[in-house]
Amino acid sequence: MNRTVARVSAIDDVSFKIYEGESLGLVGESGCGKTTLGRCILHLIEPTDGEIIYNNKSLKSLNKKEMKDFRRQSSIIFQDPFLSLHPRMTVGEIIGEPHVIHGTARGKEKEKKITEWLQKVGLNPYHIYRYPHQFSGGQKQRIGIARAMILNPKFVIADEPVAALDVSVRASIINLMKTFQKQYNITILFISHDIAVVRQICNRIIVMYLGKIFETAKVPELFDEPLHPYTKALLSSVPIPDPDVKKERIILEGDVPTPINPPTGCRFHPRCFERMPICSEVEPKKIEINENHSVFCHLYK
Amino acid sequence: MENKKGNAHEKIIEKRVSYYYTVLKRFLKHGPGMFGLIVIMITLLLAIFADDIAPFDPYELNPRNRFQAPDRVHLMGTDNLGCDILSRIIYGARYSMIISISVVIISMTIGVTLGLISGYYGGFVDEIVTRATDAFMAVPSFFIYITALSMWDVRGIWTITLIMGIMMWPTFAKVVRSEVLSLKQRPYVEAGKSMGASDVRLIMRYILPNLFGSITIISSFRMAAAILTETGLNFIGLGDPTICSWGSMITRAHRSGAQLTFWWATLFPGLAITIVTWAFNLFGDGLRDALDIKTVT
Amino acid sequence: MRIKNLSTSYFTDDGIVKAVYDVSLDLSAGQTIGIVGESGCGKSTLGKSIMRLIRPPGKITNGEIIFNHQDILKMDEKKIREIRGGDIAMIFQDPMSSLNPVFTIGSQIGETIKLHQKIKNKHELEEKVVAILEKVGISDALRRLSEYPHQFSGGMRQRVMIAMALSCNPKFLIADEPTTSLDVTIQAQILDLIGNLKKEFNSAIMLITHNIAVVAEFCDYVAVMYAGKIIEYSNTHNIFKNPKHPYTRAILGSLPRIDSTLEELTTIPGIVPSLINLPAGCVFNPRCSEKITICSEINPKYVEIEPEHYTSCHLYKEIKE
Repeated sequence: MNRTVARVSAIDDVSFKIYEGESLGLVGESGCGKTTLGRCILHLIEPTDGEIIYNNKSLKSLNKKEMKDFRRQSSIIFQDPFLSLHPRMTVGEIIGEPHVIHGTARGKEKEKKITEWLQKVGLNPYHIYRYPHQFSGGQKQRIGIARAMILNPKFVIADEPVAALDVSVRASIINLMKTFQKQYNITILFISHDIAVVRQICNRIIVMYLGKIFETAKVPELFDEPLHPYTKALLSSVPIPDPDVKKERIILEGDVPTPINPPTGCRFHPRCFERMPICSEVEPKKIEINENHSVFCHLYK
Repeated sequence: MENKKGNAHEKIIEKRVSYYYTVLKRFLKHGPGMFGLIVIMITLLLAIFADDIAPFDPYELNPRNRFQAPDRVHLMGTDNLGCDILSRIIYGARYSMIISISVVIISMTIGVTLGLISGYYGGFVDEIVTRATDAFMAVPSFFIYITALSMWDVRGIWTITLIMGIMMWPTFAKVVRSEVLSLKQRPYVEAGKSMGASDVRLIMRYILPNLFGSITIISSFRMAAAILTETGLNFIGLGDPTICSWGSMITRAHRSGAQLTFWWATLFPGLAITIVTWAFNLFGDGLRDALDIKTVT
Repeated sequence: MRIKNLSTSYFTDDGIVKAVYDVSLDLSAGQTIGIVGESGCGKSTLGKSIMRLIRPPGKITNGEIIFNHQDILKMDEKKIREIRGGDIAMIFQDPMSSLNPVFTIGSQIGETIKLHQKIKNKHELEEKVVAILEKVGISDALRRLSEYPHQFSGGMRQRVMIAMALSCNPKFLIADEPTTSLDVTIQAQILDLIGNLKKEFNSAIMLITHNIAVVAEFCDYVAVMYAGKIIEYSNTHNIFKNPKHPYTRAILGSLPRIDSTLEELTTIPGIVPSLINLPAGCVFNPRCSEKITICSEINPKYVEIEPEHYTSCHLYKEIKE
């Protein structure tokens, strides 16, 4: 017997495109739905409504074989380096797993590919016999990246890949991912709450809030000319490691609301410093400012 | 490239430090657990080499030697039918081991399979299995034993084993199911799924290996329970009278009516049962401590 | 407050972990100091040492902490308890684990006030609690007195923690990663709040964080820690504009910034050393890109190389008086 206690709408009516070869950043704070969105795109969670269309085919309509093929061409890098690696498998087995699942390489050939990728991510070939717990956080994340890359995927989702790492280690992982993206021309969806990191890797960014998209723009433009009040507040909240930069801090009132009972109209209106009466009643529609920049806000026409 | 720089300064761990190795080391340090293991090993040895170790034929009736107190010939004395108690204890170990191992194998197979399926797939199957588990656990097991064994005329040891096996699966199923539910959420299982692994592979390769620890622990406790249950069944007359299990030894001594003066006939089997069940419990405890996830991984 | 040659170690089965080694700092009323470093550098242990919250197998092995003309490390338990929460207060990273889930917010703050200000009157106590809650920006304070921690959001709980810390007008506040688990817009709120309260109460604040960008705006002085030692200390301007120690420079170069896209971020090869087996010579030498021969042999002294700028590195010379 099932009883619906509450409807938590993690993502609400979100539509966007990811272009081949681009590096798209998905930014937002807790509760904005970015993680859920990432899982939906890879069909790890089934969306309640709507479709994910890949190569002109809806993911829902794929049969088993086609789905497996999709999984071969896509991969995900997780946030938690510790728990995303099977603790009982050796590093070699973990990285080689995609080949085993898809039967694309066996024996010596498989081992060769594994050691190849181990070296590409900056680890040593003899590490294949070690277990995950013998490595540091940064190294574990490299293993995760090798695993995600070994089948030369076309599409990679990186879900907060550096959030759990120390500052000095983050830089090397970010550099690594940038190199791979250029080298192998992969389409990346980079999910993060840290907009500074996203700036380093992505060429286009989507800003989300409470299950909705608020603004989409190409990278320099979003930072130079943010349109949505939330984007402005978000950018102004990020501390800059330079004591001489005097910032006009926009301090938002209130807390990040929960997705359980979202505000009416524009979901940001209770905290918006530029709100108008219409904002609490009508949800803003998408306004395309130019071909690279669109925003969901009543302030614009 | 980063290759060289990264490695020159890593702390190189020489040994192949696998998870099981770490667990083994921890277990070896656990006093009570080791004691349990040693006792179990001794019991196993007795069971396997009973033919060579036992001084007498356990079934050899010797009316002239009845009720003999322990002496140099019969180290544990004889029972009311003249059989040497020591030999019966040794052969009894064989029966205890066979019974408990068989019971555990049967209940483990049923319980783990059901637990895996219901935990992993959820939904309708899960509902049915959970209800069944609750139902089995709610009914006092001895009721079932009495009913089932009374209906069946065959009073053999295998009937008893089979029924015990069928009664004991809920413990496995319940624990396995709840562990599967939490393991399902682990990122590395999600990783496997995102790579395209089939359900079967995810269950067998990703989830099941994490359950070995719990399954072994439960098995240990269940083996203790099986021995005790068999003793209990024997006592109420539902056991197999033809074999010399420790339970039947106690029953036989009890039936003779002379327990108090005849202390060796109940003491030794009683001690055997107590020590061995205790050993299984200690072994289970030791394993549980050694496998404590927080400190191992 | 003056901290002199403080050392804290943990005595474990695997060896002695020198969590904090030979740390010296000064702090005056109204000043903020940022203690910056990565995980395992000892910054949290430093904070806890000042509050004498180190439990076995940890032990403060050396040093003095002079506060109000008395050495904290030599005080007896009773005196320390009076100071803790009173003159010196601490805010922790995870408010959920520092707040007792089975007591109401009102009773927890009330307890702190009762202990230190010795107020017995229930009514007066309640008034004070409401006042402090409002001060930290929790609206509808009277109603929220009877709510439990889990009914508050992360940002709110952190405000409650700050309320508890400030309830007795501390002279010195230690904030250990107060905003790490919060969203960035909430982090801005909390830092803003702490800044305002600092001005009002004129407390000295020690902000412990791994996020060096935060200290740029918030702190007057910065101490950079690595493997238990302070490797550079100066005022904020010097640290960011004129960093001397190679580690500080590398960290600053590795930060992703929102005001520019860098071709490649500076990386530091290798990993943080184990605090049980520290490298010979300078603790940073195995990973240092500017090292010279002496670095792997002798531990550099912590000296003043420019006015108000200290570091421990063989590349620099102590200024002559």
